[in-house]
Formats: sequence, C-alpha cells, structure tokens
Amino acid sequence: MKVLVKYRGELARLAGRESEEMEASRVDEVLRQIKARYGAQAFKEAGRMLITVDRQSVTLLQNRRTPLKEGCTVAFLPVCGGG
Amino acid sequence: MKLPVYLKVDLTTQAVEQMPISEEYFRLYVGGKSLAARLLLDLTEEGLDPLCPEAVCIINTGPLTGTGAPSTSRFNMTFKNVMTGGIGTSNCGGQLGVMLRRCGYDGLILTGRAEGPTVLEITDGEVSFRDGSELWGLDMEQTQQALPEHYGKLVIGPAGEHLVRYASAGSGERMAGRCGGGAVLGSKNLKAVIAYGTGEIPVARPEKFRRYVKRWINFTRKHPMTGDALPRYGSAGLVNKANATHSLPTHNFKYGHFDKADAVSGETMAETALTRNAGCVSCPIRCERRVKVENKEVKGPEYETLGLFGPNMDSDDLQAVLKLNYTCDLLGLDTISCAATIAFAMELKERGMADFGVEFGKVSELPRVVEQIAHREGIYSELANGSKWMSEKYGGGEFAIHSKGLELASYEPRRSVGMGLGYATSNRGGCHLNGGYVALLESIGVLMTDAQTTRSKAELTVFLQNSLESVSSAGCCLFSAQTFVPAIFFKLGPTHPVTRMVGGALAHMGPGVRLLLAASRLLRINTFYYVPHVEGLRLASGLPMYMGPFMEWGDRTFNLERLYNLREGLGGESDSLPGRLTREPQDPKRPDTVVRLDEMLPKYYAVRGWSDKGVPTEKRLRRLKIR
Repeated sequence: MKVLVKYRGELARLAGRESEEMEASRVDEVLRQIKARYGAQAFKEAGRMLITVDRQSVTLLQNRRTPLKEGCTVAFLPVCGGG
Repeated sequence: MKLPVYLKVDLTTQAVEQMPISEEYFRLYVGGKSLAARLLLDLTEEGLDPLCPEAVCIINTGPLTGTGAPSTSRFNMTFKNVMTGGIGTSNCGGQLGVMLRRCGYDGLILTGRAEGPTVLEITDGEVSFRDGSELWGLDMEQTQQALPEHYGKLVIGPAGEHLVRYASAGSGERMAGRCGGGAVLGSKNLKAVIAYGTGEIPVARPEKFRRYVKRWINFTRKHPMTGDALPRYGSAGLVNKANATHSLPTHNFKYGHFDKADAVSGETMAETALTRNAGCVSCPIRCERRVKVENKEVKGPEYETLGLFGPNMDSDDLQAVLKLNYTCDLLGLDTISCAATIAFAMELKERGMADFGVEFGKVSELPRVVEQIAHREGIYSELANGSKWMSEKYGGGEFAIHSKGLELASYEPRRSVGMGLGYATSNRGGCHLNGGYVALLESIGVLMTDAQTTRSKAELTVFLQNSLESVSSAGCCLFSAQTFVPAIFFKLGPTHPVTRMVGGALAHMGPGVRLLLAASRLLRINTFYYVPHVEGLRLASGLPMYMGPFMEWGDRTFNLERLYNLREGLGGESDSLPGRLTREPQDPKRPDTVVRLDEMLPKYYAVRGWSDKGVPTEKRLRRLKIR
C-alpha cells in the first residue's frame, strides 16, 4: 500500500524532510520504517507524537495497529497544550 | 504573615481609602479571584446593573504575583458579568499586578463613575486622577503608548468605551478578555489604570522561597509541555490535535472536523508567520507567538482565536485570523465571544433568519465588521450584545453556542463530554478554564480517556475546577498547571500502551477522586512534582498551605462564586448548553456524540454536595467555612 507520510516538528528535522511516500499496510509498519531509515532517535520521537491517518487521530481508530488504505496520509504531529 | 491591603477608590467622588483585609479572610480566601468573589458578595447588593455606577470592579493579585515564581505576573479582574449577570472574572498577564504590589497594594476596589474620561494613577503610595479626555477614542496600543512608559497599565479600547458587552481590557498585549471587564471600566469612564512602584514584594520566607523558585523554574523548563511544546507552538499547536479528535468547532459548532484545518494550525503558523516567541515577566514558558501583520510584528493568536475565526467560520485563511486577532486586541474585544457571535450571525444568514452581511467562508471583510461592532455602528450594535441576546431577538437558541450567556471556547464538547459538563457548570459561563478544562484529559492532551463516556466525568470536572480556581487565585498563569500531567506520559507519547492504559483508567477513577475530595483536608503534605504551586504559595504567603487546604480553597472559591450566581438569579436551570450540543449527535451514525448533561448534572451536584437544584447545602457551606 503506497501512503504519504508527513513529518512535523523535531521529526521533520531528524528525517531531513517534511514528507515522503512509503509502502505500508499499518501504522506500526510506518514506525518501523522510520526506525530503519532515520534511526532510533527518530523512531523514539515519532512514537511520542500524535499520529493521524487522514487527519483522524489513531487513538480514535486502532492506535498503532490502524490499517492504512492506498493513497492515505499518515501525519506525525507534536503533542501540544493550551488553555 | 503580612495581610493584604486593598485600595478602595470611588470614581464619583475621587475618595480613596486603604482597606486592610482581615486575617480571617486572608486565611480563608487568600487572594486573587477567591478573595475577590468574597468581596464582591459583601460589597454589592443583589440585582445591580453590571454597568451602573454602583457596580464594583475588583482588580487584585495573589500572594505569588510578582514574586519571581514561574508564570506569576498575573492579576485578576472580578465584577458582575456583563454577558451573564452572574460572576465575571478574568485573569491577565502584563505588568499591572506586579506594579500594584510594588506600590504596596494587593488589590483595587473600584466603584462609582467618573465625571469624564479618567486615568487612575498610582505611584508608590500616591493616588491621583488624571484627565483622560485626550485618550478617549484611542485604541489599546495608542492609549498605552500615550501613557508613561515604565508603568504597569490596564486600558480599554473603543469597544469598552462603547460598552460592547464582551469588551476586554488589556495590559501590554495581554488581555483580560472574557465577561466584559472592558465595558465595566468603560461604564465608569475609566480609560486606564496605571501603577508604578519601587517597593519590595513581601515574601514570608524569602531564602527558602528563592531556592524553591529556582527548582520550580528548572522543573517548568524541563517538563515537555511547558519547556518544549508550549514555547515551540504556543496553544496554537492544538488546532491539528483538536481536529484529529473531532473536537475542533466547525461551521458554528455544527461539526468538529475541518478538512483544511492545517492551514490555520500552530505548525503552519510557526512555519509561515512566526517571527519569534516571547513571554510575560518571570515566565519561563514563553508561549507568546510573535507574528507579522501588515509588516508589523504583533502578538499572534491563541488556539481559541484560531479555531473560532478559522474553522468555526469555515475559513482556512491564516492571514485573516492574524489580522482579526490584532484588530480585536486594538479595539478591546474578546476574540472568543466576538468570533462566536459572528459565526452565529453567519448561521442566521444561512437559515434566512437575519442578515448582517456575514457568510461562512467569507472572512476578508470581517475586520471592517469587527470595527463596526466595537463602535456599535448601525446593525452591528446588535452583534455587540453577544449571541444569547441575538438569539432572543432573532431566534436560533438551539445553535447560539453559549452557556449562561457567555460563548463557548474552541473545544467541541460532543467529543469531550466532560468538557461539556464543565462549560455548563462554569460559574462565569461557557468557559473552558473555569469549567475545569477536562478536554485536556479527553481529546486534546496526551492522556486521553474515553471522551464519550459520562463515567467519572463529574468527579474529574469538580477536581479540576477546584484545582484551577486555586492556581489562578494564587496569582499564577493556568499554563503553569500543564505540569500536572507527569512528564513521563509526554515522553512515551499518546499512542504508547502505558499512556493509553492510564488514560483509559481515568474513566474509572471517579470513586477515588470523590474520596480524595472528601478527605482533602487531611492531606497536609506538599508534593513538588504534582502541584509545585502549593509549596510556593506556602513559602510566599506564610499560610499553612498544603495539598489538602489548597484543594479545599478551590472548592470554597467555586462555591462562593456559585453563591453569587444564585443571588443574581443563575441557578441550576442555567447549567445548560444549547440544543445543538445536547440533542444533535455530531456524528449522525453515533448517537453517543452528544453531551448527556441530564446524566452528568445530578452526579456533579452530588459530588459538589449541592441539592438536586444545584444549590450548595448549608452543611456544605459550613464545612467550607463560607457560613
């Protein structure tokens, strides 16, 4: 499954890019590929970020086991706060 | 122990007198919005018009204000809420609070109405009244530039002068935005309060306090939220997060998700518009976004402003939001109520019920509309009254998004039902902060409990409402409370199994929280890593302040504000939300995407120790030492 992966914040710096295409069928596969391509630090950073699939938080879907569809967008966003 | 001293100012007669606060009141109410609520109840009669000369406006500080502790340049305004008729409070940064304390005063009690435009000046112990005629009509920025440079200031803009019901007051670029405090000052012909002092701010145990503050600052800087996420993105970073959990108000709260939200997100703002970040005095968080608007560097918008001037109007125009935010700040308008009222007018137009020339998705003309609202020009004078007033004239109560008359902030409660309960029970109306900000544990934080379940939401709401009351009353910015969520969860991230498990467990912690609330007075310990504010407050004030008394103080404050609301006619029937949020599922395929207030309110009243009509019982009030 070809998907678009978008990086934000520190992860974009570690990956040296803001987006790329990947072959993956689940979110955890994307995480594994990030580790393989950009190392343990990038993997750690990606794991602590908010992950969305087509702008939906994976915490509302199947978390890291969320299945991916052809052409979907997986985004890694910083966890923020406010008030 | 040094007791607070307030200055009572009658603007009609220009009589000024010192008012020492009794030890009993200091021990029970300490300062900030807590002590102010007590004084407002004591000093005013039932049923006053919030804009009449007899109305009282209290501007005060907490024992931590200006002490150098993290995020403590704050002061509070308390007055009769122009939007709701109940209690109105607003917590603001800037220099005024610090300078007031350096002048030797912990608060001001303003009453009466000046004969003409006036500036109240306090220089060390001296109080004077200056003619403010030349300042009348100037915007916030021009007004502050015309006043002496080194003074702490609180000023109003044209919106306050024209008694726009949601007019704000500003100190530097910081706003006391909500509830119409700007209109209250405007009704008193008070264009500005300025203060400059050279005295020392008293601290009960200075050496211990100094060492503690150093540790507290380090803790704040190292926490992933206050040391990294907020400095990097400010609250604006919440746009994408709220959108991903369907809690980003869109199309006047009809939906909770906007496909083009990224265009107005904190990340996009950081990449395309941010010039630098900045912060208040003594704040290590530095959450302020500096952005360029028409080649001028100004304060950028918070999340609430981005959400309500962006997706809630079906707009992805970031530049328009930046401009609108700046325009509101210049004119002295609360961006939340202003944007929400305009969105309501957009829906009125869409439904053919009224036409104010505003339409969803079209925001380029809005700066002109906002100008006309601030000056109450033509039909826009009606928009200056807020969405409740508008719905009473034109209909549409089902989709006028307010509680008690104050518009909701940018958190869609159908995907954060505890936040819905908080909005409905907040003493100042539809406010996320006075409502306990449970959304942080449901849809926008790192620990996410089930956002749809009503289980434990009453207990969590009460616990958080009480906690935030105390943090605010102490003189702290509520952003400093972001460290309540332990750093470990940010390091693991929201999708980590441990974070998920703890988040999930929150929905089962109701009985435990209830026990904690009931037994709070027994908790005579302080834990640095949970709420560092408590020990800081103990060292600064000299009061025997521990976790338990701190929580009970918040409870006392919330009940006191409730008593004010009850006296002014806002009882249990006002703990409500518009029908759109309680009856129309956000997702038509999921009937649970509504706020089930009817389920949560009885539990909430029970946890609070209130009657089934939402009235604090005598027993409860005696226990809290209010009676």
